[in-house]
Amino acid sequence: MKPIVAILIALALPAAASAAGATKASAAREIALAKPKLRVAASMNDQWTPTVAALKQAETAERKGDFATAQAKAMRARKLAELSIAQAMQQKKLWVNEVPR
Amino acid sequence: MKFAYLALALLVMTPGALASNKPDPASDLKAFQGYFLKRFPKIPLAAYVNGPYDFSKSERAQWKQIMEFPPYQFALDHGRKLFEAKFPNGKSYAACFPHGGIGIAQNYPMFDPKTGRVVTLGIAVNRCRVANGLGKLKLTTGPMADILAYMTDTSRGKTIDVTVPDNPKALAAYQAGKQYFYSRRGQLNFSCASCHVQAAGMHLRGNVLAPALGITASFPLYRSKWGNMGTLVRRFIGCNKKVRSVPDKPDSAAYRDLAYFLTSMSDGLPIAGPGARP
Amino acid sequence: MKSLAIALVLGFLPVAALAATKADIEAGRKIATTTSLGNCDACHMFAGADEAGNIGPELKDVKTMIPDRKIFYAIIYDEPARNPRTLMPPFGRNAILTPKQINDVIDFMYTK
Ligand code: HEC
Ligand code: HEC
Repeated sequence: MKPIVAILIALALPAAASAAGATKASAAREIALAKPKLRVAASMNDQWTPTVAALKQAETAERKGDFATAQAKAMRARKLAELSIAQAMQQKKLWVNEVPR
Repeated sequence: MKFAYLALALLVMTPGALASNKPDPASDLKAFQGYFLKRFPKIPLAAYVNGPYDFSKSERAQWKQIMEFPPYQFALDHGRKLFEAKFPNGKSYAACFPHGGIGIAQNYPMFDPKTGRVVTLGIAVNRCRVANGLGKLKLTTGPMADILAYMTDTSRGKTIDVTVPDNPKALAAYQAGKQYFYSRRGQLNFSCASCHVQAAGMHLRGNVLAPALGITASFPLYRSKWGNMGTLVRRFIGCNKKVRSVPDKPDSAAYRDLAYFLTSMSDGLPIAGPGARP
Repeated sequence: MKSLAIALVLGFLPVAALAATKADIEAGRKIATTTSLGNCDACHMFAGADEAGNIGPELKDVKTMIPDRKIFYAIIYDEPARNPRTLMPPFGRNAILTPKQINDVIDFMYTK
C-alpha cells in the first residue's frame, strides 16, 4: 500500500499545482526552472524526446500568451527531465545487470 | 553539477561495477558470442550476419526474393563512381587508405592513437575529404552511404577484425560503448540489449528482433521502409527515437564508441554488406 | 502528511471502484492498441490485437490472471519495480500514461 500512496501523491501534487492560476510571471518562472534540468539530462546523455517536446510547447504557448498551458507544459518538461536524470543515475550501476554471462 | 553526479555515481557503484571498470574485450567477446550460441544452438556463428532472418521462415523467403535483384545495386555502382573519381586536387580516396581502400571495411571502426578517438569508416571518408579540401558528407545516408556500400562490398566475406589495442584510451572508448549498449534510456526505459539481446528472436509487434551478434555486418543497407540506403548510425538514431530518447549526433563520441563495441562483438563473423531489408 | 495521503487515495479509489462504462472500455482499447500510448499489443497477444508481439505473456482471462485491481495497476504503473529486468515500460512512473488512462486500460483488459 505504501508505494501506491507515494505514487498517488507524486501524481496528484503537480496536477494540483498546475491548476493554480497561472500568470505571465509564474509561467516564465516554470520555464526557467525546467531549462537547467533539461541541460543536466542532456549532459548525462539521457534526454527524452517528450521532454524536449513539452518545453517547446511551453515556449510556444508562452509566446501566444496562453500562460496556463505554458506553465503546465513547463512543469511536465521539468518532471520528465527529472525522471530521465534519475534513470541515468540508476543506470550508472544497473547497466552491468544487462550484460549476458 | 556534473561533478556532483559523478561523485554520487561513484558512491553508489557496487563492487561488481567497479570490477567491470577494467575492460577485457577478449573475455567479453567469448561471453557475448557464447551467450547466443548456447541460446540458439541451431544457428551457426557465421549465420548471425543474416540478422532477423534466422528466426522467421516467411521473412527469410521475402528477403531471399529481394536479394535476387539487390535494391542496393544502384547505390553500389554510384558509390564506386564516387570512390574512383578524382578530387579537384587530382588525388582520390584511395590515397587516404591502406590498400587503396579496397577490402579494408572489416577493420573499422578503428582506434586512432593520434587523436585518441574511434574512427568509423564513414568518419575516415570524411577525414579524407577534409584533408583534400572538400566538405564533409552527411554520415547517415546519400553519397556517404553509397561510398560505404562500395567499400564494404570489396570486403564482403572477409572476417570482421576490430581488435581493441592495449591503449588506455582505446579501452576507455570500448568500455563507454559497452556501457551505452547496456544502459536503459528513453521514456520507454530500454537498453539496446533489452531488444537485441534479451528479446532477440522475439516479435516486437510484427518485427523479429535481430540478435546483437552480427548486427553490424550488413551495413550500409537498403531498407524499403526508408526507400534508400542507410548507414549504421542512421539505425542507431532510429532505435534511439523508438524508445523516446533524443538521438546523439552522427559523429558523436557516444555513437563512435557504440559502433566500436558492437562491431567488436562480431569479431570473426564475415562482412555481409551492403545489405537489404524489406 | 499521512492524512493528506489518505485523502488522496480516497480521492482516487472511487475511479477504480466504479463500474467501467462502455466509454472507459473503448478508451482503454484505444490506449492498449495505439503505439504512441499503451502499445500493449507490441508485446502481448490478446483477443482483437492486430500483429501482436510475443515478448510478454498472452493476456487472456485477465480477471483470473490478476484478480486484484491494485496489483494490475502496479504492474502497468511500474513493472520494473517488481522485476528490475523486465522489458515492460514503467507506464505510470515515467508518465507515459495518466492514472485515468491506466484505469481505462485495466477496464478494457478485464473484458479479455
Ligand atoms: C524497443 C526495441 C529496440 C531497441 C531498444 C533498440 N532496437 Fe534496434 N531494432 C529494433 C527493431 C524492431 C529493428 C528492426 C528489426 C530488426 O532487424 O531487428 C531494429 C534494428 C536494428 C539494427 C539493424 C538490424 C538489421 O539486421 O537490419 C541495428 C544495427 C540496431 N537495431 C541497433 C540498435 C542499437 C545500437 C540500439 C541501442 C541504441 C537499439 N538497436 C535499440 C528494435 C529496437
Ligand atoms: C515492451 C514490451 C511490453 C509492453 C509494451 C507491455 N508489456 Fe506487459 N509485460 C511484458 C513482459 C516481458 C511481461 C512479463 C513479466 C515481466 O517481465 O516482469 C509483462 C507482464 C505483464 C502482465 C503480467 C502478466 C502475468 O503473468 O502476471 C500484465 C497484466 C501486463 N504485462 C499488461 C500490459 C499492459 C496492459 C500493457 C499496455 C499498457 C503492457 N503490458 C505493455 C512486456 C510488455
